[in-house]
Amino acid sequence: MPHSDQQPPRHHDHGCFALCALLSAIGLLVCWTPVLAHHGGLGIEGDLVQWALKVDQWQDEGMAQGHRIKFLSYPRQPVVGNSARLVFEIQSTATGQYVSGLSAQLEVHAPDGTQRLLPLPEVTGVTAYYETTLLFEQEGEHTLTLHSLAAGVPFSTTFRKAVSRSPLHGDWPTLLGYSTVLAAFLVTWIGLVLSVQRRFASVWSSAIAEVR
Amino acid sequence: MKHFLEYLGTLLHLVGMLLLVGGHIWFGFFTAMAERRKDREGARFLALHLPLMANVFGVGVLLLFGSGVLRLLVWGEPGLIFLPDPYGWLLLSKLVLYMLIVINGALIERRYLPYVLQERPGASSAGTALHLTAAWSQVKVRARLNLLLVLIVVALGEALRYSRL
Repeated sequence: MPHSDQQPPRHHDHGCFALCALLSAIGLLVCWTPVLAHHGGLGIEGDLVQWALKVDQWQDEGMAQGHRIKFLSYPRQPVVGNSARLVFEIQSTATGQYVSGLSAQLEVHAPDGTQRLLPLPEVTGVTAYYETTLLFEQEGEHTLTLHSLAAGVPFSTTFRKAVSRSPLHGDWPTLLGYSTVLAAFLVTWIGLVLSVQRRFASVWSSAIAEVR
Repeated sequence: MKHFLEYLGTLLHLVGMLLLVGGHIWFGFFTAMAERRKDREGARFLALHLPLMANVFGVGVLLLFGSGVLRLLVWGEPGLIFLPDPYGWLLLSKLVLYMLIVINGALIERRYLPYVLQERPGASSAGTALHLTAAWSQVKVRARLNLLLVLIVVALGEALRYSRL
C-alpha cells in the first residue's frame, strides 16, 4: 500500500540541482552587462544607464549633397521655456566616413515666422557630432535647417521639431506615457490601501474578540 | 545628486526584484514540491508563513514601483516612458503587466488569503487538509500566474538592457 509520506524518487534531487543551476545562470545573465562598440555615442552625462536608455537614438535623418545627416534632440519632446540639446551627425555617403572639421550653422524658424541663426560647433572629442542648445520660446512646430560647407560645396537639410506647451500637454506618446504611469500609481496605491486595511481589520477584530 | 539617485533607484529596484521575483520563484517551487511529495508539513509551513510572504511581496512591489518611478523622474524624459521608441513600448508592456500582477496579488490577499488563514492549523496541530481547500488551490494557481507574469516582466527588463544589440 503506498504511503503518502514516502520518499520521492532520486530524480527529484536531480531536478532541484537543475533548477538551482538554471537560477544561478539567470542570476549571472542578469548581472552581466555587455560591452558594445558603437560609433561615438552622444554621451549624455557620460552614463551607461543613459546609453542603455537609447537617449542617443537618432530621431530623423536627411540627405544633402552626398552627406547623410542624422538628428536628435534631447529631450525628445522639447517644452516651451526649457532648453533642448540639438545634435547632428554628418557622414559622407560616398565613403561612409564621418565628416569632422566642418563649419556648420543652424537656422531656426519659429511658428510665428521669426528666425534665428545659431552656430553649430563640433563636439570636442566626438567625431562628426555638431551640437547646440536652444531655448524654445514658442509652442508648435519649429523648422531646423542645418547649413554647412564641405569641399567648397554648400549643403543643407531641414528637420522639424514640435515643441509642446508643457510636459503634460505633449503628443500622444507623452499622454500615453503619463496615463500609464498614473494608472500604475493608482493600482499600487489602491493595492496598498486594501492590503493595510486587511491587516488593520484583522488586528481590530482580534482586539474586539479579546475585549469580549 | 542625480547619479546618487540613479544608483539608489537601481539598488532599490534590485532589492525589490529579489523580494518579489525571488519570493515568487521560491513560493512556486516550494508549493510545487509540497504538492508533488504530498508533504503536509511543507504545506502547513507555507500556510503559516503566508502573511509574512504577503508582507515581503508587498514591500517588493512598493520598492519596484517606487524605484522605477524615481528613475523615470531622474531621467526626466517628457512623457516619462520614452514612447514611441521601442524602449518605450517595452516599458509600457512592463507597466501593464505590473498592474496585472498587483491586481492579481490584491485579489489573492483580499479574497483568498483570509480563508486560507482561517483554515490553517495552529502551530501545535499535526496535520492539515489545507492542500485540499479551494482557497488554497486558488492561492497556488494565482501565485503561479503571478510568477509567470513576473518572469515575463523580468524578460522584458532584460530586453530593455539588450535593446541596443
